[in-house]
Amino acid sequence: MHLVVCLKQILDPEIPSSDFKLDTQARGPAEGIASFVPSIFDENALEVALQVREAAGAGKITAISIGPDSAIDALRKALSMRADEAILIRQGEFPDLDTYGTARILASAIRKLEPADLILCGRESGDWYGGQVAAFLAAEFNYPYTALVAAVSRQEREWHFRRQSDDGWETIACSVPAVVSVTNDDHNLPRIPKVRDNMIAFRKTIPAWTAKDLGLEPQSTRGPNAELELEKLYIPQVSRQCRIIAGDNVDQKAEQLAQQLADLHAI
Amino acid sequence: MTPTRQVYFNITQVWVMYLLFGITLAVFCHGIYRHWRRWQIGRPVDRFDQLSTRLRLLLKEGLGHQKLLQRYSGAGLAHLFIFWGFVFLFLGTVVVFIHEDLHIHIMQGGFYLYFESLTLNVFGVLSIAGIVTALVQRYVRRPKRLKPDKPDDAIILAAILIILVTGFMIQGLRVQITHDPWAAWSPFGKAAGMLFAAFLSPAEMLLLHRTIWWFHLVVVFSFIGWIPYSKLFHVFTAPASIFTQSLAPRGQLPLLNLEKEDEPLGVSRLQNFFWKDLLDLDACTECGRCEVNCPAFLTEKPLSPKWLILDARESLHAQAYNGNRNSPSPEEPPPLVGPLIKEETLWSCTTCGACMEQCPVAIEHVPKIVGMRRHLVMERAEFPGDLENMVRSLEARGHPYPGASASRTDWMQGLPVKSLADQPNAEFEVLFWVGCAGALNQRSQSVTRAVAELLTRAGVKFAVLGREERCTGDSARRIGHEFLFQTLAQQNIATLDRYKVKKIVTACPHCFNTIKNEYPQLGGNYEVVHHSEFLAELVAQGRLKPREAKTGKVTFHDPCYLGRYNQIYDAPRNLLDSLPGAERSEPEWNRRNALCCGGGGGFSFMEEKRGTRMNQNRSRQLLATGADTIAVGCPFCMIMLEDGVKTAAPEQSVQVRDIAEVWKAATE
Amino acid sequence: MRSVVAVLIADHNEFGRTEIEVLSAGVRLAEDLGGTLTAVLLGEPPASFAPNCFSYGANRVAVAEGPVLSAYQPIAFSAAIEQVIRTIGGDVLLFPSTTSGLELAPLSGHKLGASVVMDAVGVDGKVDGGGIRIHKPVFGGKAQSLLIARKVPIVVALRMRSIAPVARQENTPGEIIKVPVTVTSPAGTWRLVDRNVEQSEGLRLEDARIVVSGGRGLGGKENFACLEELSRVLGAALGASRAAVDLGWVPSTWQIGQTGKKIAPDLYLAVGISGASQHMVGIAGAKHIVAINKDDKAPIFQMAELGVIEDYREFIPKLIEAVKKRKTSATTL
Repeated sequence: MHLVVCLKQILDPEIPSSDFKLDTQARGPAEGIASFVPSIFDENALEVALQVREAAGAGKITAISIGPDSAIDALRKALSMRADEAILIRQGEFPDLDTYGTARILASAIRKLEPADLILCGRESGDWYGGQVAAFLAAEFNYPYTALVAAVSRQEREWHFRRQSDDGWETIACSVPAVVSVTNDDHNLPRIPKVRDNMIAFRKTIPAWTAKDLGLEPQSTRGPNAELELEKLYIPQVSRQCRIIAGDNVDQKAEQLAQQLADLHAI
Repeated sequence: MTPTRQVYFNITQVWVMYLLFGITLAVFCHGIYRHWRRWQIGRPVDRFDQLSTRLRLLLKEGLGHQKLLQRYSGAGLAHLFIFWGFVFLFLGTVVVFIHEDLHIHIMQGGFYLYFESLTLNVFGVLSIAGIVTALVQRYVRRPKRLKPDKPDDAIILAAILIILVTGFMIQGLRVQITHDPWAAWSPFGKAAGMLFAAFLSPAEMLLLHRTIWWFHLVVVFSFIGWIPYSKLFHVFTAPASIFTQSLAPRGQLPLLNLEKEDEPLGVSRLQNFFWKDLLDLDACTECGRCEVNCPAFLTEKPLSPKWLILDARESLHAQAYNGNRNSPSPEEPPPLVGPLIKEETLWSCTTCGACMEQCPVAIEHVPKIVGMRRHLVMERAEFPGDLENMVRSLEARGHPYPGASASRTDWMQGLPVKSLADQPNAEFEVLFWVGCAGALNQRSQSVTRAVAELLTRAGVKFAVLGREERCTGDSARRIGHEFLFQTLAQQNIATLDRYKVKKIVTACPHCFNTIKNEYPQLGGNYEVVHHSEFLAELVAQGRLKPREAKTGKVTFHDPCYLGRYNQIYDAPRNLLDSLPGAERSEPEWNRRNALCCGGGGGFSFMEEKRGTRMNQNRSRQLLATGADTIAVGCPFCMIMLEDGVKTAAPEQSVQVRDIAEVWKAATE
Repeated sequence: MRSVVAVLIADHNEFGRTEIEVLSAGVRLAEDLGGTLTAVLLGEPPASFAPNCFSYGANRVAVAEGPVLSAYQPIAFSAAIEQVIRTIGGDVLLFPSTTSGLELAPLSGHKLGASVVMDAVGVDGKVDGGGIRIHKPVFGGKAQSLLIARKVPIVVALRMRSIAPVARQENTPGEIIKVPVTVTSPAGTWRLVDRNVEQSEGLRLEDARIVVSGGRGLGGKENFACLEELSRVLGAALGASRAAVDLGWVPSTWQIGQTGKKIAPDLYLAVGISGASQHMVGIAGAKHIVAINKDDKAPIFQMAELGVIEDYREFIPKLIEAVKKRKTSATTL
């Protein structure tokens, strides 16, 4: 059984709002304050893959990431969580990379590996929230696609996915191979790696593939999304002036608030 | 006539004694050997450095019974008598040996009268008084810490009593029969003799003397032989443990070398402990002082420091050298953590150190617990869910507060304070280390501001690291994540050295302890002071002037990491006393006996799942002083006690304030 | 660029808020572009769907019909959408961010070679030189982006509860056309095995008009009891921030935020919640936000409409009293 997990390294999204700043050209976040972390839902995807392998008793997990050289850290974290192999694809080689291109590059990398039974991605990246790469990957391979999966199990020749629906949960039975996008859930919180595994991961080499290795022309990875123009990126100034309810004591304030709620027709 | 006595009066076949002694010695030595082999399972560590300091500690804590007399001193005094009685009586026997077997006739004249007769008599009686007190303590008064009663306890006390009493009987009978001219020098023996003489004829007394003499001998030899096989072994292991105790600063946990590939990460089996850790398992006399001072035990959590040690000891005695004469094989020991010592036990410890402070035989409980936590966290990655979030936050963001929406520089708003990053060439006297709580916790930010304002007022040129501060790693280290601690520490040391920091002041005792006592292990050496010390010094220098103020009734709660671990008890008290108008009282358990608030050892980041709340327990003690203000010197204590006071006494208006806040408010 | 298409999946659901929002966004966009709005329906919709679409501004309803549409299946349905669009035309396709929408928007977008933007909170057509503008929050809600798309086709998935509905018009006529779908089932199988509707006692968070929510400031599991009392008195649903869920005080189904539920109630009472952006993302669509927190520096006070700086322990019981008083006096009138 071979499972492939796609990871993206992003700037830590959980820094306090007061520390968040845009870069000088307002085309993206400013670096410096936040550290780089693996995108949240991607870690859930890796955890799901690890749980599938544990249930099956055997299997191989490969983690792939497109990014700058620093993305090696996200891949090392995947290795310390016990992914078997990790591969970095150098983002710098591909100018104007959009979601179509990302899917294309990932697909050509995955084709170089042994056949995958399941490809897992996070439902959306924690920075730009594209939410498309997983579906595009399914389209590249012509595999079935299922979104918002929280748990996966193997039932004979099928995958069973437990996924979020609009009003609860659904179980989907799907043929092998397939592509899923993973969402977070109580049961797929990424495990904390053992320090020993951390130390072992540190010593492993992670290959970095170039466009040449993938047999791709850098320009050929430009897709329709590259036509989108970023008109403006800004930090919204909150225009709401909060009215603090004044009063000498708690009773008065409670009275005031109850009155306000009545005015709003809430009661 | 020279004062002396006939050794072996009325005794024949003395060779039997030598034979029995030989057997006793063999049994005794074998027992010692078995222990020795077991201790050798442990890892090497040098505990024979600084011999003069060690000797001094042995005299103070061992012979001097320092800890035994500082608390539960009645029991301590009783043991002092038993102990010294033994020492002298043993010396007395050695004198007989020298006199009789080595034919160096010292047992005569003044020495015989003053030492061999009078001194031994007095100490013999004191010893009996001690044993009787011990019997009353254990079987009549029944303090909880001595539970459970084992048959051994009764046998030991009875045996010693029998030995002492029969000793006096023998002496009494002899002085009567021989009409000893110097009987008055052994008054108690003489009295015993007179009692016999009232009821028995000389012939009966002779027989009784011989009978009791041999009986006494058998009991004594059995006693000696039994030493290595019972609690009596503490006679040797206690001084050994005291002598080989760690001389590192108290607040310093042992450094784990993470470079070595095959080094086990923490303790899962007995052989992962140092040999000293195994030795001190055998030093435990089950006195229970650790237990009844443990904040976890007192709130019904599944941790008793005493039982931790005894369970580990049971494991030590059960494996390796279990009866057969083959050498123990180190592969054998079954895992300690899990089967014998439960995870929930290990996660109930706040690392407050009260157990180690109270232990009269220098057992090192906390490093053992942390050692086992290290195994759970680093080898198995198993730890309470709350701590997972703390660890994730430390790894990603360098602080232990997941979901914190404040930034490390928020507290500076409105104050003329700038981070070193914004003014790298600024000159400063001291670096004010704010800490994660001080920067990110809403309540603690007021304390940070108070300290900054007082420093400014005193004209102190201080710098702050602002965003470049990362968690000192105390919490990571205390939960056993040595790897994360070392990572954080190395980052901080690099930053501090880059700015050439020499002196640091901090308002958090955990930061204080870690930077002062633990950073040197990784190459970071700085002069570190707690804000109470620094501010007290400023007051003494006149740079901060107290003013007449209505401070009112105040009490101080000693933080574990400032008081017990670093022996700083007076500076915060002096700081409070420097305020005219402050009426300071002491809570029941204070200074070295202070009860932990429940905030250390990772507890500030996880919920107490069992038992009652530790903070409420301590709050009740502080509220009992009648103070209107409870002064603290630690952000964890602050959070814990504010919550505890609000829950325990919601209708009262008792406030919990940092000493800096108290001082600042009183001098506005 | 003139043809706006709202893609609606009928799959065990009634015509409701989700459909209204997509159509409303479509109507306004069509107006900006001077174009038309077509509602494409897939999946055997009930008869009431089409008239409802007209009431909310669709000029035309295209009902896709074919054997492959009898049960929902992502690849098959996206192939169907491609065929329909190639048949009847469509420049801008709008999808809701339902589970099916999250699958079909990118899948059909890829088939059509469209620019795809997910998780948008608004679209407008007021762009110089032609094109549409898509409003999309990024970085966990800390920043807002405006994207311009000029080349068709364009696929946009709209975040739930983020579009203001247009007024319903009665007696609106419209053309209904049937579009035959001849695509076959794709390679590979995909089928629904089991469905589990979440049981919530009382009101569902997503549907509740009033939501009372607790955060880290509550301090413990037992303290949620007073919020439960408040929610009873107000007729509200209960929610929580991620902190309260992570600490194990409340079940994860209560979680509101980036990695939880996104809701848009009329009134949201945040008690002991600091207001981290990841949480605020979950209530971006709330009409009125009231914050109760003893920390006057909590970021939530910058985003709330009304604030009370008090310890909830003292304030909430008093609020409950004050509200109860009003309710009883109202009923005695």
